[in-house]
Amino acid sequence: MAKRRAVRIAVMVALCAATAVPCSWDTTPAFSFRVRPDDPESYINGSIGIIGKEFARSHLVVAYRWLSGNPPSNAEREGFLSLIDHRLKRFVAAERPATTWEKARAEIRGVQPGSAPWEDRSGSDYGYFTNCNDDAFLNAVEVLRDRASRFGAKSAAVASWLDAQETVFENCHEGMSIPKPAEPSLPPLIRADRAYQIAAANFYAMNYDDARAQFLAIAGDSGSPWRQTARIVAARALLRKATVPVRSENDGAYVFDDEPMQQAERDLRAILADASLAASHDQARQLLRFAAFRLHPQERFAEVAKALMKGPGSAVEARSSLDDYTLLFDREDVEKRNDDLTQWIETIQGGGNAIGKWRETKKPHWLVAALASASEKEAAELLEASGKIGADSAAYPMVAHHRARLLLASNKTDEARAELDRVLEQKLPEGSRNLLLEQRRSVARSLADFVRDSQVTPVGYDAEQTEEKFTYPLLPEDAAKVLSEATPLDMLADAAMTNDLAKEIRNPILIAAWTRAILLDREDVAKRLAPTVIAIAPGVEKHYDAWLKASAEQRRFAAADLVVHNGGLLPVIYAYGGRLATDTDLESVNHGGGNWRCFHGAEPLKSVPPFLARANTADERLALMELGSGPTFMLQAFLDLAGENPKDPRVPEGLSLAVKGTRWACGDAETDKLAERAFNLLHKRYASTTWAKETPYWYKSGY
Amino acid sequence: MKRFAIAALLAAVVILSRADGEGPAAQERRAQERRGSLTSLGMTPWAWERREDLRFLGEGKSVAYYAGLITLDGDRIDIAPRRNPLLLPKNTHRIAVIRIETKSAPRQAPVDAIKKLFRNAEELQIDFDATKSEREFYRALLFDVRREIKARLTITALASWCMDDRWMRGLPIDDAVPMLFRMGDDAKVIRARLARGEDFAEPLCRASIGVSLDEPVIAPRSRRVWVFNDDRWTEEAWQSAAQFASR
Repeated sequence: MAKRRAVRIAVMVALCAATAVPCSWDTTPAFSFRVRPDDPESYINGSIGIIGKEFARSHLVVAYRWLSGNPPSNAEREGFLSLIDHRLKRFVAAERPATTWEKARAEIRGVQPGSAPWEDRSGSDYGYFTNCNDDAFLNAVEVLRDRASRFGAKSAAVASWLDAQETVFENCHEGMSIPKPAEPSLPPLIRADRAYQIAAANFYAMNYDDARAQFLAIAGDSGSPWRQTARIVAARALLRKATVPVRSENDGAYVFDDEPMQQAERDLRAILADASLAASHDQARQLLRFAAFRLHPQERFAEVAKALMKGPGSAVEARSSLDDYTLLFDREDVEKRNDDLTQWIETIQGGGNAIGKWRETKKPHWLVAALASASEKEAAELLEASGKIGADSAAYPMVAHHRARLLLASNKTDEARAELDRVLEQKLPEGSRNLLLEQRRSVARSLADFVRDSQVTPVGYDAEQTEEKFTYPLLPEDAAKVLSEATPLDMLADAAMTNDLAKEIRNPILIAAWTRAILLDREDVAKRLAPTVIAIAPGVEKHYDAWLKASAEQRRFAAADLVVHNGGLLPVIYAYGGRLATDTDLESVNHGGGNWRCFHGAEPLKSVPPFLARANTADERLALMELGSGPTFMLQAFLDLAGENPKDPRVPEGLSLAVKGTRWACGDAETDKLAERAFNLLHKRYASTTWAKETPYWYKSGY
Repeated sequence: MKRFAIAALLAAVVILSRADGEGPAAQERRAQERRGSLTSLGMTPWAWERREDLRFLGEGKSVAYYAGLITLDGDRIDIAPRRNPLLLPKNTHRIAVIRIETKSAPRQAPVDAIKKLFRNAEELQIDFDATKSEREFYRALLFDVRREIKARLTITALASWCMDDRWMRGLPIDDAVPMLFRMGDDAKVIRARLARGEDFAEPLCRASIGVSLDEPVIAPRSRRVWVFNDDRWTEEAWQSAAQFASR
């Protein structure tokens, strides 16, 4: 029995990264990705933007090439992109080659296409492997067309060929079906095809020894058109024998058989040494790389690191190098060599003496690494050095981002803003632009600047780092916090009335400002905003008019009556705009949350943008805090109204809606007590009303 | 209910007890009992798309394993079966979990694809996200699957479907597993409602819960528990799932 070598391979983990976690329902938007660029194609073509320390190593390799001044060639870009598309599951062929085969087969048969063959076959232990590759189907289509044109689509020769080929592909998924030998009466070409078809059927049926012997026999047949191909496929039979079925040992490590793998390596080297087999050399090299990854991982890692640093290579080589490098990087048994690429990646990801490397080499990629991890102490030296990097450099957005970070840490606000203004004039990847806008929001000198920079469009979803085309901007968390907690009401109203504001940004600000104006009895602001509010939510008009007409003493009750009928009236602004970003149905009570006002007693923000430096919101904050959470405000108001004017027709309805509202809103320390009181009052004093009958329970507030 | 509580108590005692001073056979027997106690309490691990060796569970337990992904894109149906090996003890009750995703409005029900991926299993679980416009498609698909595959059929369900939505009413399934992890924005609200004693309004959701080792669980008691682990399962990880068994 062949000696088995256990190999811990992260291959599968990497290949299946996108499905390693069951699909998440967490749809929190991402304004930039932590682990990947938002547009891999532009990234590979030099639009590097701002890379993060959590970026996957495949992306860091690409960044290294651009930042070190050795951009990948067009062929390398093609290879890198094909791997990254594959890993991000971005690439989907227009049609499965198996379907192309099925259509071609059906056309010759004169029948409707049926189900295409399934390419995957069960290896073992519930795992499948791709048994019939795309090339097999595409080659079969090509040969079928050729034979049809030579012998006629309806000829006995083609019918026989097709029978055999259909049998070959029956083995792709399961079973063992071997075509019969060709009749002597068939043309020699069809007989040669048949020998190949029989060997191929054995290959797909996992009879690798038989398949190899048959392929080698064909390789020795000077009359066979399959002579060259058969030599390569004979080596592939050995590679399959070594790796299929997929197995794992007790510790979960993958295993393969050494002996056939080594034999394959010898066979492939022999093919490379044979000039008459030149047409197969590229394929032989590719298969040798497959074997080297398994047989000589240490050497392979050094080889691909060198290839990736130096370039250029063909697209196939580039993809293979990037694939193998990143997979071997994860292997504990592969020693990481002291090459510049690996050191740089390790430094970006885990820190290290980046500044020392920059001082030693003066290379731009080390300057970027040094800037990314620089402390305030190292700032002066790095700011001076990085000042020379121009907008035409791939490193510029990353450099500008970290320069601004260091300047802000040194309280050089104006210089940081100027740096950000300059870089934001450039064409940038969306995620990088969003990161830079976040920095510029923190130094905004005016409300207009702040609102302008708060209109950012997500690049996808955060949980799984998946791209998604958002067609509208959303309020990022920091902007929502500043507007909600540190911006005076008048300014908030100004923000809501800013021209050309996207509705997903405007509506949450508008409703917060208007609701706040009603609750704080600021009629001037409420009137100013009312036409816009009514335009988006006409239902509020009736209760708003009642509020306007109410006397000063009655205003609180009118406000409560307005609020209790509109679960969407929030005096606060939530991250991403909350429910109001995309929903203007103010009347509804959203069972997913986001109704009325939560009261968390948030601390004032530690720092605010310069335009708010002198703003005083303490009085407004205090007044809002005194009103309590939404349910508390409503319950208290209707209990008070019941005390003042028990016959007011608004009371039973208001008590009922407020009690029911506690189920769908945040409370505070007073809410539950008030809910019980309101419930008891409703059922005692107003027991005969429909409202009492429709309110069978009171609820403990939650969230 | 009483039996469940006693079994849970026993499990907790067994888990907490130390095996010091016992011979290897006794230790192994105790380990078997311990492992068995978790699954006999209705604990099922999800074995996702990574290499997994679950032989430590012992014989006769249930395992829900990722069997593959079916992607629907108009008329096109792509099947990506499980790639990673999965080692199971003998006589495992195998639940094939098939994930379905859509790229564009599906026009064909992937019943054949589901049948292909379902082989080797005793029970089927379908994992999908249905937008409102896709709900009728999934409803029809589940009826087709029920007709074609004679096995216990469950689905994973958003907690919000189970709480407030009524769209699952009448689905031809045996159980819908409310997924109480990776809930995103809904998490706070769902947890608060469950914490104050609410149960899932949808009756199909009242037999089990889906939880993850790395997230806190607030849920009704006495349910079958499906446990997700964000990493490879190990015996230690499975022991840590005891927190769900004893709740």
